[in-house]
Amino acid sequence: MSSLILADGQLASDDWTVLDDEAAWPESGRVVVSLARWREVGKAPAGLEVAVSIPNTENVDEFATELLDRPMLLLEIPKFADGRAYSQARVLRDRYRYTGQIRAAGEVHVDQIHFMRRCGFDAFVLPESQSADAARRKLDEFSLSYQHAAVPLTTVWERRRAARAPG
Amino acid sequence: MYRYDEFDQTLVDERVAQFRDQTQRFLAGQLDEEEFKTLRLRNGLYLQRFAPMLRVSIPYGLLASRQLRMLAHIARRYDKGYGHFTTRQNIQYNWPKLEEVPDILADLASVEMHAIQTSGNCIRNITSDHLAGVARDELVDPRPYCELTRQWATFHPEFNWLPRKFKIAFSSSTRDRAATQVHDIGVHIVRNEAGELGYSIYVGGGLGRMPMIGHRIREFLPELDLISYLEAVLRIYNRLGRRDNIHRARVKVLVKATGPEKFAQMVEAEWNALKDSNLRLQPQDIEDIKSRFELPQYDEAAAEEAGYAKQLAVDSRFASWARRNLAPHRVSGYSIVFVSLKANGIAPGDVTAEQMDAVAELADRYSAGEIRATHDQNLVLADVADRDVYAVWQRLSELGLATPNIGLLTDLICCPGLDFCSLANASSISVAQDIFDRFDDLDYQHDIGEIKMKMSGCMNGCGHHTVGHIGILGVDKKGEEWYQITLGGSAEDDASLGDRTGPSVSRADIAGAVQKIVEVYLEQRSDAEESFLATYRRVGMPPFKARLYDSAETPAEALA
Repeated sequence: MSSLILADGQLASDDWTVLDDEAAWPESGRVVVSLARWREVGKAPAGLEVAVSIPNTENVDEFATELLDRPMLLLEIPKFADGRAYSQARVLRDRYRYTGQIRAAGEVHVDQIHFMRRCGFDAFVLPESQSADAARRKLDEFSLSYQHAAVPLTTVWERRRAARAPG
Repeated sequence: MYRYDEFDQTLVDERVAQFRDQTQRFLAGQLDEEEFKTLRLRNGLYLQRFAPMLRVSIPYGLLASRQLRMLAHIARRYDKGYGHFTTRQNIQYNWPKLEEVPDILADLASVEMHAIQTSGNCIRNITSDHLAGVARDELVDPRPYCELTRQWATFHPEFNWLPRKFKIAFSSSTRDRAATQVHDIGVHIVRNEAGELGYSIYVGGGLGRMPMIGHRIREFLPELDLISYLEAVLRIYNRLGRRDNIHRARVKVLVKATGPEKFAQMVEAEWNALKDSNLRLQPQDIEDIKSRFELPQYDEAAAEEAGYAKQLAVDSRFASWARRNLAPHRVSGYSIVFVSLKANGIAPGDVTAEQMDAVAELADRYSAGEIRATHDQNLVLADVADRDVYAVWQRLSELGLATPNIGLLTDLICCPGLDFCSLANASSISVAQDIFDRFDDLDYQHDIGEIKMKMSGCMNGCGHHTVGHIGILGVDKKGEEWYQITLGGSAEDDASLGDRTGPSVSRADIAGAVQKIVEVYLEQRSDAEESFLATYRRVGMPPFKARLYDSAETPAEALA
């Protein structure tokens, strides 16, 4: 069983259903559809909440504006050593100010979620091999950061700037 | 020397805790081998032919004496009493125990050191000129800019899982001593016509299987835009670099596929979206970093003192060393002293714990407490007053660190090869030894003059063979070690890749082949001033090729 963990470390129940491209829309509920399907239909059928799953090979600059009102975007991590989705998350947050949930799904490893969170992910679908307890510990693995990223810890630069500010 | 502030120290300490946790989970069977591998690599830990290998980061090659003493302590306590300086200004240990690595990292953290990102597909150690701050041909000291870049690259959340490793080098001088044009990014610190400070950016250089010289994609980048621009380059690479084939994954392959102009346009477009963000530096950020560098205090009276002229006249061994192993310092009355790690019988770059302690002692006594590691695998004491040069030489001689061969044939660079590395096809250290034996006569070496020989035990090219004036590459042929030779490479301003001479030669013949190449050079050079590289560029390959292969010694198989 996979588990869903949120940015605050809490386990959450996952009430989203992934919908195959060929499957008919259900009457109601929350579904995740492929980017291709979403770009075809352009809007959610009445009574449904629709999230969109984005392959990590896509350039989000090409379609981000079509997704800003989606409640959730799912970024696919096909291999844990493939870092493309990290850039997608940052561009969605920093450049397009996307405010819905960005969810990591696929080979999501606990040793990575601290960094994913800083790139703007705020939900993580952990595969069965990964422990939710470990994930909770790992979210706050580092207390500081040099980089400005989507969800900054107060950066080292800002702390230095504050320290030298007069008064 | 850059001194950490509380934030730098906190991050390094938290890294130790992180790696201790990862190691414990691995040893307890909670972390699988493949996942642990990628995590340990980001701390420079390889599992090698005989034992783990740990690579420790030396940012831009700069070490304080207390750090060098700690490296000696680690060699003694956790290893077999020595370390190996690499071609990227780092140090490697070949015999640590996996379960002790967290303790080693904790020891390193106690002296503001670490092994962060010394391997793995992430941004590696930032390298620079080993003569930074003391060279006469320098525009500004590049090290504060390197340190800024080091901090930006450290634990960058977006760029820790790149298609492949990523190396950045800085140069700020007329002569490029940091091989910037064979790095993923080469940064040249320059002034524009208006006199403003900034950078020229080169992208897509590299060695290894597909050696390439970098392309300049921006002629002038303003000083405060360094980080936003690097971020743009890395984002383009992270998004578009190939991930289907490890041998086609470096940024150089992407730059080649798109073409440098198109690549530059993509970077420019990304940068336009980033440059006015909080990635833009404030002048005070740079000043802050500069203020954390403790710089040597020079004694103005040193220029008036006697120096070492008298000893030069009476001690020919000292004179011979001074001719090769000293370089002029920008402050008069001071000299730059090269500590040769290339002695007969020693693997190039190897240094014992006792030697490290002794060099640290020399640095404290005579050279502002600092030591530099060079990408030619030597050390430098950069701030020695001329009055002290003779005493430094005497001590280095006792330590076996005064071979007068800097820049000469036996100052060759070399990877660990088959003796240690699990990637290697052939040994390189023993070939280095053969060459040492054959050219042991130093007068002969002095007569040959400046020649950069570089040797790698496999295609990955850690010994930078493709940019050696003479390059040697070990290859495997049906289980036997053979060697390909290239001529005419260079990693400096006139960067070029060497040309293959022809079929590879056997282990038994390689030192002889080098001898033949040197003989052809000595016959062909117009006078003693014409260097090997200049001669090769003038006369070309034919005379070398003729001598190398027109011989009964050449085995028939190699000609096939």
